[in-house]
Amino acid sequence: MKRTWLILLGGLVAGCVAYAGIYLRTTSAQRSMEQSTRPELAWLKKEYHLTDAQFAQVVQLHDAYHPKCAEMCRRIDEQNAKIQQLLAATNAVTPEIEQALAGAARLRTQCESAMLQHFYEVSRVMPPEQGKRYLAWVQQETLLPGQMVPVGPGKGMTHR
Amino acid sequence: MNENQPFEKDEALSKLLKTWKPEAQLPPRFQEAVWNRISCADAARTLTLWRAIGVWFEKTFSRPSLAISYVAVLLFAGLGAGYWRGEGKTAQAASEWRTRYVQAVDPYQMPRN
Repeated sequence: MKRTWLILLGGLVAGCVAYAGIYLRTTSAQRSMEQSTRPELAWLKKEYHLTDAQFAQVVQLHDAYHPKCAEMCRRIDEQNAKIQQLLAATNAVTPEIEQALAGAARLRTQCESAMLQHFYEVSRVMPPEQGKRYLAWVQQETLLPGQMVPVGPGKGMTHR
Repeated sequence: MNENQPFEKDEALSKLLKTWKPEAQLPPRFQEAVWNRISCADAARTLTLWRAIGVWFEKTFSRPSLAISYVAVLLFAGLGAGYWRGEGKTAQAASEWRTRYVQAVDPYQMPRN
């Protein structure tokens, strides 16, 4: 009877140990990325096979771009609030509304140009094939038409 | 009892029985004792089932091939489940980080306060 219990429990223990071992192994990279201060950039390093030097350059570019991005974000919100205010005040397309919409379009062009500029800079730091892959992905996620949908007043835009 | 007894005799017995009132008292905690016996009988039946399962396992695992197969099946099930769960978790985290990266570089997708 002792032998039977030993086999029964041994099988269960072997199953549990195998589960834990393979789970910890498959999630080890993810856990180490979670430990990093900016996991989204750590993910970029892993996904596009960057060396430490390349990654350091990408981080530098990212840090330089971030304040510009935040400023654009502020201007977009300001422009959206202005448009909403104008739209709420009338039921016709006034010259002010046309002007505000044109301003929003200009702002979008500026934002997209700045984004594209940043993407090109980042892709140039990467190995050529990875750079191409990065550009294709990031352009698909940000610049291609039909990606942006409004989510409500004062909330800016979000990804579909 | 003879089945050919006259019916009148049965009737007389019935009447007599109806007049009989037993004076003997039930022993103390009679009901509790009855319930105890019922639960003991249930436990004995369960024990028998466990014993039967134990005997089946003992008999099955006495064959080394079956014992090894049992351990191997649990081992591979554990490996498969761990791999599947780990991959799922990794894919979920990667998806989250992709979104966070895009939100960090695209002012139109940046989360607002």
